[in-house]
Amino acid sequence: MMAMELVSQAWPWVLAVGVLLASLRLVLGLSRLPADARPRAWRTWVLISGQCASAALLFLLLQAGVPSESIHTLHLLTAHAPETSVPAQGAGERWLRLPEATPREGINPTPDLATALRAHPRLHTVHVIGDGLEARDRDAAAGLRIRFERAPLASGIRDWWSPGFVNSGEAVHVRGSSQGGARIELLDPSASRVDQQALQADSAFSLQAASHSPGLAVYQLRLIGADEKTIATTPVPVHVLPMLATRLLLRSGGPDPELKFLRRWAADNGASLKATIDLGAGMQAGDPPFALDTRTLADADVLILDDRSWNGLGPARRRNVLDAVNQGLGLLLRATVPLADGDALGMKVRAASLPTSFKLPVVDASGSRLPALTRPALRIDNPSGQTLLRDDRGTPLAAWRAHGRGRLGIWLPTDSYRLALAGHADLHARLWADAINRVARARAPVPRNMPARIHAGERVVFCELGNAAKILQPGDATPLPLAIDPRSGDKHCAAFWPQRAGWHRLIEGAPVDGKSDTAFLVRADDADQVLRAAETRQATAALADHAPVSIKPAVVTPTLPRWALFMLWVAVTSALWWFERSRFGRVRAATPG
Amino acid sequence: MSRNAPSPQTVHARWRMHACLRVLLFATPWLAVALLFALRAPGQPARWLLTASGLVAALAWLVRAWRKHDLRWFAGQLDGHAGFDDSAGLLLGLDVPASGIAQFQRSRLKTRWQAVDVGSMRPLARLSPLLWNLLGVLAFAAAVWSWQRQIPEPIRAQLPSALARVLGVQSPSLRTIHLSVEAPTYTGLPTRTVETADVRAPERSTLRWALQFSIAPSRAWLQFETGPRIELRERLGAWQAEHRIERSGLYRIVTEPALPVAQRKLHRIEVIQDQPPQVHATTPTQSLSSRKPGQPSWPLAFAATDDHGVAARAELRIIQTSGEGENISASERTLTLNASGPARKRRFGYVVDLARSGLTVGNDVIVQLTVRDNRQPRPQVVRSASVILRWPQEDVGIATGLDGLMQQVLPAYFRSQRQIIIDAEKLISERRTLTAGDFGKRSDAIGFDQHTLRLRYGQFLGEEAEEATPLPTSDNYQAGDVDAAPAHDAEHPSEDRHPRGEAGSSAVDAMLAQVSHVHDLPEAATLLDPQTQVILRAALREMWSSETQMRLGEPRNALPFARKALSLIKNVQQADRIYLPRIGSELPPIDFTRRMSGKRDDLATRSNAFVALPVAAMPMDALWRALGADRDGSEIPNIALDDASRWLQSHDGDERDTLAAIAALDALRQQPTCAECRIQLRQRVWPLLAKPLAKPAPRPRATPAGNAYLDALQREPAP
Repeated sequence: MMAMELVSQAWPWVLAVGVLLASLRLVLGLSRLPADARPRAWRTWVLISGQCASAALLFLLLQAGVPSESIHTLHLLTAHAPETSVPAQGAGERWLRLPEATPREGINPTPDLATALRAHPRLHTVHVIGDGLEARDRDAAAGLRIRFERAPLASGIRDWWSPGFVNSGEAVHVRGSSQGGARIELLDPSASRVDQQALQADSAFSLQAASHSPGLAVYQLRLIGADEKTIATTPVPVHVLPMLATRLLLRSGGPDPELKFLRRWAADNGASLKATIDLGAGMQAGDPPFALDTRTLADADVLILDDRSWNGLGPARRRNVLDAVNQGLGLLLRATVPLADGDALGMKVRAASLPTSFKLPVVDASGSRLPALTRPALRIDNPSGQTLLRDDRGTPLAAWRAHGRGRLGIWLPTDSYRLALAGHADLHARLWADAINRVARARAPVPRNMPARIHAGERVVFCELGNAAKILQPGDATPLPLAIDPRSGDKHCAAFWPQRAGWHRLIEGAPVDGKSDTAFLVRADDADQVLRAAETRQATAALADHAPVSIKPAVVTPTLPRWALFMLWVAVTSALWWFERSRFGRVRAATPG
Repeated sequence: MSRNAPSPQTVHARWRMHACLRVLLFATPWLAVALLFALRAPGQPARWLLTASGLVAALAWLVRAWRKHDLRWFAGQLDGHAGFDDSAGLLLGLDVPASGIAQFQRSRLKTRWQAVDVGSMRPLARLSPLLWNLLGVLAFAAAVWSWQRQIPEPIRAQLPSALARVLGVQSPSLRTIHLSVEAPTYTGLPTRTVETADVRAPERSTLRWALQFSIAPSRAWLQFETGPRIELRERLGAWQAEHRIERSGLYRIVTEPALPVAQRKLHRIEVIQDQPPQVHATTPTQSLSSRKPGQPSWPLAFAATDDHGVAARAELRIIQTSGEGENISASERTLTLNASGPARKRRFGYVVDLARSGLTVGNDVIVQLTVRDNRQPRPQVVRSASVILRWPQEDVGIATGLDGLMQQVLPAYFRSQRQIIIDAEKLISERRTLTAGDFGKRSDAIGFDQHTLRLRYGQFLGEEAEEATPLPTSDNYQAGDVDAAPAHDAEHPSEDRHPRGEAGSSAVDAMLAQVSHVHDLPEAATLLDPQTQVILRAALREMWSSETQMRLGEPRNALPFARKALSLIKNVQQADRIYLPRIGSELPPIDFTRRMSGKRDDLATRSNAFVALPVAAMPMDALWRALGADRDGSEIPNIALDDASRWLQSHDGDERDTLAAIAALDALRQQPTCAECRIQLRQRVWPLLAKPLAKPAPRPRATPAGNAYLDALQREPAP
C-alpha cells in the first residue's frame, strides 16, 4: 500500500524527468551535428512541445480516477441484516456485504470496509444495515457519514456486569439488562437458583448471591422466557479472595453494648481490634491504651472514634488524626452529638428534628422482621461525599468522603447490636463490614485487571506484564510465551489471540503481589451473540452519532472523460512519432543524393 | 577389488559376527516381551523364571551359532565359488600345503583373493524370516497385553463361555438393574420398580434388587458404606437381594471378579422420612379467645394432615380452671373424638358446653387435641397447640411494660388496711360506751397503725423510713375471708395482732426474699412498674389523710380515706409483679463501704481482650480450591480428597448434601481424569462450604495514578 502511494505520488516526477531527458537527448544530438546538417529550429521546438503535451496528457489520463468515481453512497450489509432490505441500485450508490452478513444474490462481498473505501475513494456516506460494524471496520469508518439501520435484536442477555473479584463473605452483585425474556435467574456454583427477578419493561436486572470460601466460583445467569424455556445462559466467574487481616483501632468515651458486639464480630472475623473504652477519671476498659500518634495510626487500617473521644481530642490531635487519614487511614466517627471540626472533616453533623427510631430497609425478602433501631436526631451534611446507608425513610445513617488517600466516615446508628440479639448477626456483620470496608486503608493486593469478557477468535490485550509472561491454554502442557509489544512503552502490553474456549491461565515470571498467576475464561466464539451484537450496535451507533458531517473534498472532475483523454494522448503521441520520422524541417542539403 | 582387500580372516570374522547378530535379532524381541511381561507383575517369580530361561536359551543359541560358523564353515562357503577350486582350506591355512603343487595353488589363491569380490560371495541373508519372527513377537506381545487387560465388554460378552474361561477374561458387567421398592403397607403406596440403582424410598421400605450380569460372577453382594453387606443370590436368572432400609445411605455393587470401573461407583438410597402429622385448630383461629357475655357453648374444630394418613380417633384433653387468685385448681378430662374426612386430611369437631361445665369468671378452658398417624410399628403422636377460652375478669388496669422480665404472681402482703377500717368501724360503734379520752387514745392508736403501715408502703416507693420499727404487712385479706386473721395469729403466736417488733419484720423480709431479695432497698423501688407506683402513691396519700383524721380523734372522717386506700391497695395487689433476675447477668456484689464515696483506690484498668472463636481448618475449602474450574488440567492432591471424605463422614448437616458429595467424591476417585465427575463434585461441594459472615477487609490498593489523583484532589481548595 505504501509502495502504491509512493508510485502514485512519484508519477508526475517520473513523467517530468522523462520529458526532460528526452528533450536533453534531442538537444545534445542536434548540437553534435555539424551546423549545416542541423534541422530547422522550429522542428526542434515542435518536437519538445509535443513531448511535453504527450506527457501532460498521460499525466491527466493516469490522474483521472477509476470509473467508479461517481459512487458516493455505500449500502453495507452486516450481520443479521434483514432480508427485506432490497438493493435498489441508485445512481452513485453501491451495495456490498461484509463477511458477517449472509450471502445474498446480487450483492458482492467485501473483506472489510477499508477495502471498499479504497475501491471507491469518493465515498462519503455509508449506510450500515444490520448489527453494525465490527471492531475491524470501526477505524476505517471514522470520518465517514454513517447512517445506521439496526436489525432487530434477538432475545438474550444484552449486557451484564459483575465484580471480577470479591472478598470472602461479601455479596456478589450481578447487574445487567436483557432483551426479551420473562425472568432472569442467578444460579450459584452448585447450579441451584439463588436469586431471580421478573423482568420489567426496561429489562434491567440486579441480582445478588452470597460468596463462600476463597477460590473460583462460577455463577450462571439464566434468562427464562414466558414459556419457561431457557433463552440464554452465560457463566459469571468471580474470584473469591481470602481476607487480609484488618487492623482496627477503637476509642470510646464510654462502655456500650454496641462496642461489645462490634468487638465480638471483629474478633471472630479475623480482624485485630484494639479497643480502649474510657470509664471516666483515667480508667479504661478493653485493651491497653494506645496513643493516637503518627506511627500507631500509620499501622492501622481504620480508627473508630465516638463523638466524646473525637470532641475531647483537642484541635492539635484532631489535626494529627486527619493527617493520618490524608495518608490513607480510614476514620469512622460514631456520632450521637454534633462533631467538632466539621470544616476540617469536610462533612458536618447537625442537630435536626428527626424521629429517633428507624428500621433498616429490607435487605432481602426473607420476610423476617427486623427490630427497630435507634439513631440520634442528627443530620449528616456531606456535600462532597457519598451516602453509605439510609434508613427506611431515606435519611442517611452513614456517609463517607475521601480525604486525601484515606476516607472519613460518619456512623449514626447507636444500637445495631439489637440485630445480632434478634438473630440477625449476618445483617449486623454486613452493616459494619460495609461501613468499615468502605473507609479502610487501601492496601489489599488487587488481582490483575482482566477484560470482562474474552471470546475465542477475538484479540485481547494484557498490560503490565513481566518479560517472561506466558499463557497456558486449556489442554496444553507447555505455556505459550507472550511477546511484549515494544510500542506499548511502559505499559508492557502484549496481545493474545485465543483460539480455544476454556479456562486459560496467564503466568508471569516473577510473582508480584501474588499476581503471578491469573485464570481467565475464554468464551466460545459463538457465545453471547446477543451481547456482542448489542455491543457492536452501540459502537456503530456512537460512530453514526459522532461522524463528522463535513464531506471529504471531492477529487477535481476532469473536463474530458477518460476515453477521450486516452484517444487524445494516442493521437498526440502518434503524431509526434510520425513527425519525428518525417522530413519536415530537415535540411535538404544534408540528405545524400 | 582393491589391493588392500581385507584378509580372509577378517572377512571370516565379519561373517561370523553377522551370523551371531542375526541370532540376536531373532532372540532380542522375544526377550524384551518376556521382560515386559515380567515387569508388569514384578511379584510373580514364574515370569522372571521364564525370562531368565529365555535369556539362557538365547545365550546357548548364540554360542552354538558362534561355534557353527567357524573357519571350516567359511572354507565351505568359499569352496562353493568357482574361483577357489575347492581348496579354500589351503588359503585359510586349514590344510597344511603338503606338496609343491599345493603351495603353488596356495600362492595362486592368494593372488586371486586380491581380485575376488568378497561382498558378492557372502551368503544371502534373507530378510523375510526376520520379519516373520517380528510379526510373531508382536502377536505374542498383543496376546500378553490383552491377557493383562480386560477384553472390551462387547467382545467379551460375545465370547463363548468356555473360551472366556480358558482365556481367563471373564469379568461380569451389569446389564440390567431392577430395583423394586415396596413401601410399608400403612403408607398405601404401590410397589414400584425402577431401572436405576439410585432410589428414593419411604422409610422402612423393602428394596428388592434383581441384577443381571453379562457373565455370571462367582460372588456378588451389595456393600453399604456404613452398614451391612448383603449377599446377592442367583435365582430365576437374576441376582437378587432384599433389604429393608431404615436410613439413607450409599452402597456399591461388588462382584468377584470385579465389575468395570464405570459400574463400581456408589449408589444412593435416600429415605423419605415419614412426617409427623400436622394438627391445628380451624375454629377458633386464635389461641386465646374470651367468652362473650351470655355465650352458652364453645365450638371447636381441628384439622389434621399427614403424608400417609391420620388415625381416625383422636384424644381431646379439656382442662378447666376454677378458683380465684392464688387458689386456683385445674380439672382435666379426656374425650375420644372420631374423625371425618379422608385419611390424609382429617377433621375433628367438638362443642364445649360452658353452662354445664361450670366455668366461672376469671377462669379458663384449655383444650388440646392429640392425634396420631398410622405409622408402624410406632405411630407418631402430635399434640396441637392449646386453645384457650377465658372468661375475662373485670378490668383491673394491669400494668404493662418489661413484660419479658416479669412474672405475674399474686402475693398478699397487705392486710392491715382492712384491719384498720374494721377497727375504726368498731371504735365508732363503741363510741357511746367510751369516754372521750379512751376514744381519742384508741383513735390515736389506730392512727399510729395507719402511720406505720404508710411508712411500710412508703418503703416500696423508696421513701426513707421515719423510724426503725417496721410494720407487719400481710394484707392478704380477701372478701369474705374474715378468719384469715386467726391464721395469721397462728403463725405468730407470741405476738400481738399488730406486732411491732422485729420478728414480724424479719418474717416479711424472709417472705420477700423468697421472691425477690431487693424489695426493701430504696434503689430497688424502681422495681415496681410506673403505673403501680402511681397507684401506690395515691394509696399513700389516702393513708396520710386517714392517719391525720385518726390522730385527731375523728375516725368517722378517716374512714373514707381508709377505704379509698384499701381499694387502691387492692389494685396494687392485683397489679403487683415480681421481678426475677435474668439468667446470666451475675453482677458482682456491691461494695457498700465505698459506694458513693468517690474513692477509687485499688481500681485498675480492666483488660479483657476478646478471644476469637477457634476456627478449625475446613478441608472442604482446600478441596474447593483444588477443584476450581480454572484447574481442570491439574490433578487433585490425594490428601485433599482424603481430608474431605473424612470430614464428610463426620459431618452432620443436611444428609442429602453430604451423601451426594460422598458419592461424587468416590466417582472422582475412581476416575481421576473424568471431567464430568469434577463438575459434579464441584456442584456438590459448594453447598457444604462455610458461609462466612461479612468480614472487615482493607480496600483494594490504589494504582499510582489513582494515588496521584487523590493527592491532587486534596490540594484542590474546597469549593
